[in-house]
Amino acid sequence: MTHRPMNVLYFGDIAVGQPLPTLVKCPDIVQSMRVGAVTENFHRVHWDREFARHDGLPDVILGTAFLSNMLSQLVTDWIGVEGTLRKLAYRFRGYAHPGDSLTATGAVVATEVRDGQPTVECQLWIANQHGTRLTEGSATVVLPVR
Amino acid sequence: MIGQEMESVTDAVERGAIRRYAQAMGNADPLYLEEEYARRTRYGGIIAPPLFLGTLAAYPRGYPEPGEDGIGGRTAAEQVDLPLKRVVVGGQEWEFFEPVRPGDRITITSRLAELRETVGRESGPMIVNVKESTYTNQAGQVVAICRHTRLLR
Repeated sequence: MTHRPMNVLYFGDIAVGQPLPTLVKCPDIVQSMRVGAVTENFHRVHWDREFARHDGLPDVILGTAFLSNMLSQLVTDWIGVEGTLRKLAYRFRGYAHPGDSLTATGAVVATEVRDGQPTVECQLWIANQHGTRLTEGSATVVLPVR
Repeated sequence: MIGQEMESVTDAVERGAIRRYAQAMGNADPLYLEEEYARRTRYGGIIAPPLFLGTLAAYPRGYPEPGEDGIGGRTAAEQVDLPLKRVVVGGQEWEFFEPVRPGDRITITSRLAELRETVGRESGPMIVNVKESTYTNQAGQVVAICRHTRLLR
């Protein structure tokens, strides 16, 4: 039983330009296989190194679901259980490989009460250990008011 | 062709599938894993991570089984019959309206929203294919909408 403190992020504590926290993951080939399994994406390029190299890649590539979930987790960890994720959009720019150190983060770009809802918009991105942005996206969340 | 309904499939949200998904992604949020914790939250019980919806109905009955390369299911079924070598996931835009819970039955209705030619800076000519999927639960509530962009080249 996890006694996780229910941290609450309030609308009033958010300002434009504020950075989001960082979420770091270092996936290995086992996680790549596991992500493929739960998303029922069995493409060999995600778990068979020989196949990936034959395809001209340096190593297997993580399924895009792994990257999009990093962004989703970044946001839901940040807003906590009292915040609501309304929109999440992302575009894939590059491949992630086992052994990479991936950092997901972002910044607040807008805060406004929209249709009566305290709404925050953020830009999001994931970069690898070389600083290359593999995924770029945005999120819209609704937060509680103190 | 544009606006044409492509498919409508229904799939069940299973608690074990939610757990395996969260664990595979390395997301240990107890909201997805621990009923006792989740019951004390405003959701009143376990919910699925937002993007869990994307895993539903990957292999509906009648869709191709994976071949030697591992490609099958909706991926293969949705490949447009054109002389193009690669299908790449370009991106997705999700809107979420209602939480998704174990035991829900979700119906996914998809339509072709956009199909156009473009030229990539590095990759050359390609076709942009946007599919819009609406996820509706057993109570008739729209829980999410996803616009899914694929690049074919």
